[in-house]
Amino acid sequence: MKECILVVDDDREIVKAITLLLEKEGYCVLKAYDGMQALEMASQYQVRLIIIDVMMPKLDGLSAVMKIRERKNIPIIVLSAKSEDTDKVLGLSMGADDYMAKPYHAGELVARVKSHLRRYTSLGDIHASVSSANIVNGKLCYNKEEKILYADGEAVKLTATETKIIDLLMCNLGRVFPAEEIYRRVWNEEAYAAENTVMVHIRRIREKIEYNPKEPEYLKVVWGIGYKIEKK
Amino acid sequence: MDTKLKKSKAVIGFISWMAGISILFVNLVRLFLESSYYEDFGKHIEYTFQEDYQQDERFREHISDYLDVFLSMSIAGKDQEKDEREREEDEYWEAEVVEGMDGFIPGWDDYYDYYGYEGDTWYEYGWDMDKKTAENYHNMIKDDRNILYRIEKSGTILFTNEENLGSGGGSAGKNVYCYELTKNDGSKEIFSLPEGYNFLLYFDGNKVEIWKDGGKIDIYGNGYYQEERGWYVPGYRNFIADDAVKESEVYIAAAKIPSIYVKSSSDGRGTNYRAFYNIWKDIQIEKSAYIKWANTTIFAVFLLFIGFIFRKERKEAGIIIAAYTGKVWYEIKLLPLVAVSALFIMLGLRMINDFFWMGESYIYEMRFGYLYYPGLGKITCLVFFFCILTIWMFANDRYYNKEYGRNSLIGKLASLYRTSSLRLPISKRIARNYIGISLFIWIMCIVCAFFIIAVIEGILTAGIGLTIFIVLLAAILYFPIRFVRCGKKMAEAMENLVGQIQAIHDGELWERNEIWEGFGLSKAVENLDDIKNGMQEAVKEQMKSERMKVELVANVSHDIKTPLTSIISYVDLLKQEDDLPEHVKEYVMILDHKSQRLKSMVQDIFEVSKAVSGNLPVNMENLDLGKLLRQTIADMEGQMEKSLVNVKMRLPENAVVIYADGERIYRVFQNLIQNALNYSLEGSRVYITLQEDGEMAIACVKSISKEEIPSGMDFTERFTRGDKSRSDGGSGLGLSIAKSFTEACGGHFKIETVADLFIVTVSFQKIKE
Repeated sequence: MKECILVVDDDREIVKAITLLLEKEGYCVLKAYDGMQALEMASQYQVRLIIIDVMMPKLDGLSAVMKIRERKNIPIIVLSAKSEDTDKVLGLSMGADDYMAKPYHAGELVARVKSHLRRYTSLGDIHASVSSANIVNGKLCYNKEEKILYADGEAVKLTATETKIIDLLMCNLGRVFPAEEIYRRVWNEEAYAAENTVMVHIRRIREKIEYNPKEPEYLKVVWGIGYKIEKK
Repeated sequence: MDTKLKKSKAVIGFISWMAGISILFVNLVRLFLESSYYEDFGKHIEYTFQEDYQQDERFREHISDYLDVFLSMSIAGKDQEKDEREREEDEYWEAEVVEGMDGFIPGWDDYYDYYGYEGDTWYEYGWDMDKKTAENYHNMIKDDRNILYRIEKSGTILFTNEENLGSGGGSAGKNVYCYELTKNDGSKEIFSLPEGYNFLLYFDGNKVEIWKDGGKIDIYGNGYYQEERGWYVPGYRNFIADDAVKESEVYIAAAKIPSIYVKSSSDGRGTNYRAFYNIWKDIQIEKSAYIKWANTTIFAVFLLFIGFIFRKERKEAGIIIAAYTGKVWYEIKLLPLVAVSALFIMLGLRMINDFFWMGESYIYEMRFGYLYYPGLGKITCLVFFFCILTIWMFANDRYYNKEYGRNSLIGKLASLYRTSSLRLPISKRIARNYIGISLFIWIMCIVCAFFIIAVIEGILTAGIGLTIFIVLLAAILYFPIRFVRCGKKMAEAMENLVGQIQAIHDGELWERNEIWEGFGLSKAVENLDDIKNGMQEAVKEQMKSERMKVELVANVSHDIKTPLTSIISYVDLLKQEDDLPEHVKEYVMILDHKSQRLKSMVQDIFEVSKAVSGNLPVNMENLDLGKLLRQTIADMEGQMEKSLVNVKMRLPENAVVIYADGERIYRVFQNLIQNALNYSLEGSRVYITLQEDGEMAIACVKSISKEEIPSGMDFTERFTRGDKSRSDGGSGLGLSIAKSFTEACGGHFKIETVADLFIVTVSFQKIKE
């Protein structure tokens, strides 16, 4: 069964571009061009996910999100040209599950859509799988005993070193580790040119777990201090 | 018409108020005098209005004296021989001494005349009287019909000036009084007075009885004679009648209304009998004076009432008068006031002096003056009127013209001096102040020296010396205080000015400046105010325009992003098409590349505009700058490897901690390194160094430029590019963003060029751990 995604934007070309993008991935796409229409569509059809713009005629995106949230518990991704942090905070606090700035990166959008749908549908309630061995952080889930990292429920293939780094960072969510410490603890050697070595591995891990490795959400550099996995 | 009425109302109200006060004042003085003159003032007024002269003290004295003389007469000649001898002596005394004295003391007789005492009735009484003297005396006074008398001895009448006295009819009628006498032997007698007579004194040999207006008067009181009041007649317990007069009986009747009796004599010396008349006349005068007093008092109250009614107009008149008097120099106004106060002081001193020396009689004199010279009251009234007018004028002027100092001769001179000194520049004025102090010191030194010499040499008398000493002391006390106050004022003005400069320096542009009057610096303060206002305006304008710029950029970047999104989306879709010809794929690659650049440029523009306008949010924390540089370089390793330049690092091993926003500083160095990679000469080396210089952490990026660096170029200017054609990949915002972000984090950003060497220095304050 094809999953149905509602795309809302007053710019028809963008709607069409996203439609093409998503249909290529095998989703069924519904189109709406303003907030009111979006509300109607959301109530009429069995929509699994909504991608919505903020600045639209008749009813703006955030208001629409609030209205839809009153009845539906589906993932909503806000796609807006407003890229300020404050805009993001506002959007997420209004009930959106995700916030993407325009111009969006096609691959990232698709990845996010997949991720949300997987968590919403196939995984069901993600908290059901929570056990003492599992560390859940956003889309990441790390099993301490098995030493396996899941991203959106799928196991990520990591090398031994990478697994060690992930183990260190996931077990200390939010804690900042200087490169020297990571090096010492992972390689069990005195640090030498630690920054470069660690950075190379970090970059590789990012490519495996982040939607957009250039703008990482989870594995972050704390400039001038060290590295950490952001607590979600 | 209306204004005229109002004017006259004001004048009337004003004058009646003043006149009322002055009349009342004079009347109060007179009331005080009168009431303090008489012991029982109420009773005095009562009989004054009854015109009863018999109540007067002087009447009593006269009657007492008459009785005394009559008693002497009744027993005259009892010791004839002795009398004879004494009479000769007396005559001799009279002839040689008293007559002679008449010449020596001018006005002797006048004095007696004036006070209503007849010389004859006065000095020749006494118990030693011979028959001849008694006879003479009888002849002398018998024509004074104001008193009727009958002197009896042992039942025989010795002297009388009215044969029928006592037996005039025996029945009381209108204006005729009959009194029942009790004789010494117990028998009673009806004694009737002639018409017009209401007073009877009867001496029965032991005591006196007096009837008046049909009633008997109690003369003895508690039986003891007291000097102050009462009848000086025998019969008191401490004033018993002499045995010699046991046989005597005296009847004295007095007229109700006295009149003048004149007796002409052959020698041309007429006798004027007016003792009682004078008393009566005095009472008449007093009565009319009292009536006049009452009338004037009522009149004064009436005047005050008018003044009270027109008080509003009076007040307005006061304002108008003040407007006129305000134009007059203060000294001129002060002069009459001084005169009036001098008058008052002198009069007061005089009064105290007179009262001290004259005592009770001073009050008598004053009272007498007012009583007998009506003009005196009027003059006093007038003088007092002008006195209070003067005082009022002065007080009124002081009340309405608060700035009395301005319109005075001294004040004018002072302000003339002040304005002339105000025109001088501040430096000259300060100099003048010090010159003043110096002059004062010199003058005082010289004067004191002279003074001391003069005192030692004894040139000065004690009085002058003391005066000069006091004046010098006053000057020594006064002027230094003035200098100190002046200096203080100047210092305060200076401090104020300095404070305001400090305030402007600290950026407190919205506080009002106080302008200090009168001390030359006010001009400077005003100028400073102008500068401040100008700055305020400029800052306001700038803030407004910056805000607008940010808004504009935000809107524009948003508006650009929307179509850009479509472009990027469709380029993406195109990229995914596999069956495109090779050259089309190339075009798509170019489109992709440029659209991505456009995207980053839009973001850069937005951020730099925010940073420049100070709206960039920063998340400051302590971080190690060395580590940050290492991380940045590690992060950019891929690009470095691709580029044709070598990157060399000179970073210290120890932590160099600064307080900044890591994200922003990362962007700074990312841009700088990017810049260095893009614009450096191929094959050259880029040096990234970090040094600690005292308090500062200094990071340097040194590179050799590919192109020739144009001189005098500001690289941090937005959209400045190494190559003018702008054909390469940069947005031209790299350095600008770097600079803005550095400054937003509190660091310093500097670009130096030495020939082709391009040096960027980023320095931060170090944090001590």
